[in-house]
Amino acid sequence: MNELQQIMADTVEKLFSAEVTKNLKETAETNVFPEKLWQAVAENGLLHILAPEHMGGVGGQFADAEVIARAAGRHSVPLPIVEAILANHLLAAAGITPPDGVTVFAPVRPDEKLTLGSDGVSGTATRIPWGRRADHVAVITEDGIALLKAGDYDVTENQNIATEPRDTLEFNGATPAEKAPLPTGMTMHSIFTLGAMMRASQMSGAIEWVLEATVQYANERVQFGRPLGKLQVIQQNLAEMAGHTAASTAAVLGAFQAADLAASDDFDGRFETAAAKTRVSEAAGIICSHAHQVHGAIGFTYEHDLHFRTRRLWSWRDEFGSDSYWSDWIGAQILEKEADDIWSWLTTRPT
Amino acid sequence: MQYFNFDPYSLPPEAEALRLEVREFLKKELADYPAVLRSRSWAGLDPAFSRKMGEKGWIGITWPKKYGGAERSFFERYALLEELLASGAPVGSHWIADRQSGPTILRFGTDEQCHRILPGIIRGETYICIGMSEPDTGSDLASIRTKADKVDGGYLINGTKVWTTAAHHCEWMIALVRTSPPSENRHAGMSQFLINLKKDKGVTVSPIKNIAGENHFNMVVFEDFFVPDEDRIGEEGDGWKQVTAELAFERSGPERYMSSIQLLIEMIREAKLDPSRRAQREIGRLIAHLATLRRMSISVAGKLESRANPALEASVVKDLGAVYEQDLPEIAHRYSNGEASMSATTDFEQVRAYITQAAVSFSLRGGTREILRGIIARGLGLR
Repeated sequence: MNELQQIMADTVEKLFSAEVTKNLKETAETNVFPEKLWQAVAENGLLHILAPEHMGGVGGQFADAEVIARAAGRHSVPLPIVEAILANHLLAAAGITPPDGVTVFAPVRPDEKLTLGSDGVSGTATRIPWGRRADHVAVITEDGIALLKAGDYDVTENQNIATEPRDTLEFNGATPAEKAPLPTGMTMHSIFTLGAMMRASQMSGAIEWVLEATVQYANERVQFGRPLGKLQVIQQNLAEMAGHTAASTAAVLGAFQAADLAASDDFDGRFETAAAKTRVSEAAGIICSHAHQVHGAIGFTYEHDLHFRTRRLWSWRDEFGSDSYWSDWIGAQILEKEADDIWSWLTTRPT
Repeated sequence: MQYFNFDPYSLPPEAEALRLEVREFLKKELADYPAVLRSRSWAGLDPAFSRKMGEKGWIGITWPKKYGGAERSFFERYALLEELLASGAPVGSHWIADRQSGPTILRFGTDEQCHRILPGIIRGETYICIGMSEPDTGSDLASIRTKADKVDGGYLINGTKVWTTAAHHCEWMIALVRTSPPSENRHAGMSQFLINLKKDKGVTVSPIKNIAGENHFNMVVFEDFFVPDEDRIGEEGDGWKQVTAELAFERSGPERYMSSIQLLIEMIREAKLDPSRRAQREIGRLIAHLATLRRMSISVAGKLESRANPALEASVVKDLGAVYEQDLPEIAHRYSNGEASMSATTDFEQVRAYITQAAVSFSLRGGTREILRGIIARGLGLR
């Protein structure tokens, strides 16, 4: 971590530890947007970490944004922070100054396409995080990027396993407030990949929290006259969790490193995100399963804090491409190469 | 809270340059080397190949020049090992001496021992095996019973070592033995010795056939075997500390996730001939895991290069790596339409037959899954 990242990490850790209480998370699950927390996040400049300074941003790198995404996942922050960071980044890269307020982007599913023509924006985008609360939506199409205001499209509310809003937006020839061609070097798929990268980082943050909480619980909970953590069978499961946690973190940091390389160079960094989202999504299932097993019945209660992470992990592993989506994508790239060339290809990837 | 540290490292340009040189050499050297032999990975024994490696200066590559080494970096060594493993080169003769016996002698041995042993290793002529396990000592290494009794000018060794890979093929063993009887401190009273297996008195090496029909490992029996004082490595009683350091080397290399790579390559070859969505997805997943393990393994190499202790992180990579290496034959089995056999007509089914049998050893050798997870649990503060 460099100095900026350390400062950023300290800022978000302090903010989220103080503000993201159990009460706040529970309230957010009753369809209440935590406005005060959003304001604090915005005032700290977190949402504009990737936007350039002349557009009111920080001009940071993806690796800086990773620190924020990881903390947002670690604390189950019930806000579309990573979505706003990416929306603001995409708008800025296309030359559109990101507006204030809640801005998200659409689509977020690889099989959905919206159109942008002389008759405005048309089509349907499902599973849009906090679509109901967004002030603006950055619509990504093959024909360019368009900024739409709330009210210019229809919203049908929906949610994921963790009760996070995942809404359907219908566009019927909506007129964009602003529009621009897609930024150079970006495609619909490379933008979708950035979404997967951010989600993977949140997942890795949540996984780290779950491991720590499970280790702590195992050290405190006494059964058979000693802490659970002294039982070898529990230790084996915690060690397995630790391995998957370490692999998730390593894979995610690699994805952000590759994305930064791709931003400054003629380089396609999508493989590292594909690998990270595959790896972390697979880890999520094992981590959640072991964590709940160690926590026992108390971890199955809504009262306990564990489910805020595990329900998000079960949701997030599906979002922006599941492990099957991304392993399929990697497999397709690999099978275009000769079997004997796979190793030499792998050694050209950044570590 | 961070339990582990897997900081990213990039291999420096000199490591990548060496990689290309090694790749070119192996392409010529192993042009006609069959896939099923490649799948033996670092278990393949071939003294002639090891001598060629020695001529290239690719054994003991990080060791001091005064002993014949090249004083190159751990990153260069890492790239070299990766290439050898990726092409399934028969490196088994010198592998253990290069990986851990040499470094043990360098770190704890005398200058005389270094001058006597290391140049032969570097030439690819001196091979060394590890004398740790015993008939009643598997994972519980501190329970060894082989003992060395002090006599004039040296020690008399009595006891039995077992599962000793390639002992029948080695001139030397580095053995961990008791120099004092067991006491309250289980880790006290052990020492390491250089054992010359080519002596004709007091030592018997008997091969043990494994389930794949290979004679890789052995039983080695010592009866009043004399070892001179100058063949003790380090101080008397420091054995445990020394083997702990040695095991960090044993567990930290790319061979801990690359043992089944030939099967992955053959799976890809098969999938290209007979494409399916399922195969594509399985292969994509395996590549995602491979890339992640490689990143973590290079991070461990970075720790070695910066002289930090990689033992905990190496245990994490070895545990994950063995699970991965063992998953491969299971996945290959699920998508094969044929029957695996060492006499099958396709490379894929031959390699699958070999790896299916060999894979069970991957979470036993060099520290069992249970031992590694115990080490990881200690890293989590649980014990």
